[in-house]
Amino acid sequence: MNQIGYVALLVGAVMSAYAVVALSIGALRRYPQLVKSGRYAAWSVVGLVAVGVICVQYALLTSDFSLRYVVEVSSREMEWWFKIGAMWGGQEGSLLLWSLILTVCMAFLLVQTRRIQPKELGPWIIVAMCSGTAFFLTMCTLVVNVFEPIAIVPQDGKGLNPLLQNPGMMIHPPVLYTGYVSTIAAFGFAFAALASGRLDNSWVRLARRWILVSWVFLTLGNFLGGQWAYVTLGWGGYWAWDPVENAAIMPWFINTALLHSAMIQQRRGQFKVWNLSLAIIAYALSLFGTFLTRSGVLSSVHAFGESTLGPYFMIWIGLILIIGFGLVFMRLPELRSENKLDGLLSRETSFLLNNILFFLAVIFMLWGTLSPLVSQITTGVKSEVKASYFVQTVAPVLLAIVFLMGIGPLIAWRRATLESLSRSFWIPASLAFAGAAILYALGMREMVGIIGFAIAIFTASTVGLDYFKGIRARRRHTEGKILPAVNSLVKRNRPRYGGLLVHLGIVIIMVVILASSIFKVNVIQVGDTRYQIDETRGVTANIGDTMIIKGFHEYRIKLDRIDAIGSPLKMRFQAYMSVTKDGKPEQPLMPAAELYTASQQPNTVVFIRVDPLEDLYISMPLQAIDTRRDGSGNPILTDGKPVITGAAFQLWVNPLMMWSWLGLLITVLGLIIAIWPDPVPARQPATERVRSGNKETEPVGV
Amino acid sequence: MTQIQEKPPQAPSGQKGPGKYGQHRKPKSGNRKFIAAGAVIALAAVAIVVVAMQGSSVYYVTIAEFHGKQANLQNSKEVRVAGKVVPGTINRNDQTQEVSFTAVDAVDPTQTMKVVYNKIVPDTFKDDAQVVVTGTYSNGVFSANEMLAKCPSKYSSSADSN
Repeated sequence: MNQIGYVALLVGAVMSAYAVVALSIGALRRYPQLVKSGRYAAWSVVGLVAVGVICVQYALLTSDFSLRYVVEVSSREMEWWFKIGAMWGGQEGSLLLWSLILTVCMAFLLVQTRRIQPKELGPWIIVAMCSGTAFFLTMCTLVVNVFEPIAIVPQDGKGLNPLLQNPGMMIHPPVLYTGYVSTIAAFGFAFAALASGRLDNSWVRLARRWILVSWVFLTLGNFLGGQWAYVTLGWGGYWAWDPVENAAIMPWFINTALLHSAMIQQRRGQFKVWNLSLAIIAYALSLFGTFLTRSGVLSSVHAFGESTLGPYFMIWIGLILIIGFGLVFMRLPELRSENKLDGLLSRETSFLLNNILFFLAVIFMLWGTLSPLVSQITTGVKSEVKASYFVQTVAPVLLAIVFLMGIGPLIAWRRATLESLSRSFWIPASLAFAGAAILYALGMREMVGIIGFAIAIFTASTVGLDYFKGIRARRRHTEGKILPAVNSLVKRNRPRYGGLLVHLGIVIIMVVILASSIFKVNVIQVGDTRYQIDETRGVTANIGDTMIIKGFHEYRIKLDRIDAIGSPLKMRFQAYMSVTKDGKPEQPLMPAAELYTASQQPNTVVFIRVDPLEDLYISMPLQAIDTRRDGSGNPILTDGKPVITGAAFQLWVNPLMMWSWLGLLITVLGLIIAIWPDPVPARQPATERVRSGNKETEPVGV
Repeated sequence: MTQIQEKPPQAPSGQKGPGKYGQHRKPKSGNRKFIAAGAVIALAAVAIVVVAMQGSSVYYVTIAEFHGKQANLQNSKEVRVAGKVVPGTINRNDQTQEVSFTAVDAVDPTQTMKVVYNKIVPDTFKDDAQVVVTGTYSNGVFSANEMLAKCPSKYSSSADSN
């Protein structure tokens, strides 16, 4: 079984290489037979990778400890779903997951390119995909090997890291990887346009759905990653500006920029070079994120161990960039804009500004993430930037983007005047000012908070106003009924109204981020002493002590007891804390700490009490549990168990956290509306949709 | 449906044919506006980076490098040092919540450093863990106020043959 899997992956790498050569020659020399055989080869890669994955899964599920990889990431007593998830718990298997998602994307593209218009693009898209499978399959067979046998077969495996034995493990990595991997599709279309010389707007039109797919998966992947960190790590936050986290959000920024500038190209024939460049950069950054977790060049909590993969990834990313931008450079004379930017105030410039801002955010993050390498090369000493650098540089850009989200959709194409602007924006602007005034009157003094919330109100109300006006107009045709009016409004221009909803969802998420970063409560009172908790300092409480923390509500938390519960797998310390909220008793809080027997790995079990206004977040790290000790410092045992006298707790009140889910829901809903196939225009011949500068045939334009 | 006005928002001075902007605008004047706006944005971006770097840039060295370059890394300045936890040296004071341990250079076992940390350490902190501590050094003790810890990787020994 293991040999079958290894051979399948190896043959897959060879077939990918063959497909690249056959399709390239077939497309250049116009040999339809060769193109056909290349496509068959690509299909065979899809099948071969599936065989490889099935073999790995079989080994994991049957606990075949003759494979080193299975020993490293799995163990007998693990639940079966974690055994499945263990495939991406280590270096080799996660490369295989990449390959798997790549081939799934390729299968979709193979179907899509069967009747693609213009058909010159077809072979080149598959060339780009197969170059990806060739690289990744070579990496996970020849450089590292998931099927590597072990010399002495152990009785049991080491098991997946306890931090990874979490439902998040089953969802977050595959979703984020899908976001990463699917950026190759937009790259494929850009590459195909460049290679085939079909440089009109058709590649953008064909890639649009793929760009949206990557966007939604990157959004979900980053959101779920933050969520997972929040509920398991116990430091009360969800984003630490770690290099690997930065690497995961950078493709999202570029993809969002591409999503918007692609609309300009479809509508006005502008930004052609820019769009091709963004598609190339988005793919390169996705590879870069994968590279960072594997190379050991930067220190990160998320990284796998150092490995020999680093240089290969560097070369591959370099090749992608050189080939991509080399082609762009060669085709430069053919990439002239069809229109010019007219006024400084116009929809086009607002899109341009949007792109600049996203690009700036990426430059800032890249600079900060790579500063250890840059400083080592220039000064000989590595120097890093702390998280405050990222907050200071990226946060203003994000606020500006949220502001622009409010302006962009309502500003006129080509050229707007201050007069028309003030007519569209006086209501949202007054609401924003009113909101800021109310917050100030309520006692808020943090300027960043007030400005941020005012911008959020501004943008949210432009979305609301746009829907309101549209629905009011439509209601005249639906006898005043609201739901049919909404339906017909959205149907008239799905991308616009879906996109507006996405904007609203993002605004909600931004509000939560802002609230939880500025108004997180970390002052705790125990007895008469007040403590301030920062990210890593705890507050000590003995059994019977009461801790008081005040957010919107006042919580009084009494530490009743901490039980030690032993089992062969792990030792669990379970705290019971009775709590009152504004004087009313509530269900007890039950944070816990565990120690895994085999690996001696501690694991903090965070407890979060969710309220619409705020989360009460409490964690009890294992090493800060106090036990009664004898003179020489050894724990005194009663009935074979240590007597626990108290513990240190990390305790926060995080405002508004649960509303981020609403934001995510609205975002995804908006995206589904935007991406939903429009039956009528989809059947239009492609030529009519290409190059359409007029508003009637092309319903694009949020 | 949209308000397309043929007059630009502000007529740049020194332009020929003031009545004809709508139809025959000189492309240059438009470009100049955009170039100026671009320059403003670029300058602002550079300024933001410079300001942000000043407050948050911190040297990152291994323990061996730290001891070698100690003279350069002034004693008062904050610095980030990477090393490994020497097994058996972790000591915890329950009263003060202070953790002390000895860290050793990942390559050179003769280079060690005593570290004191007065916060809750991450779950991944244990014997042999790779640690990165940020703090200050005085009287032979490194007082850390930030810590990043990672379990010894299962792969580094076998996959990385040096």
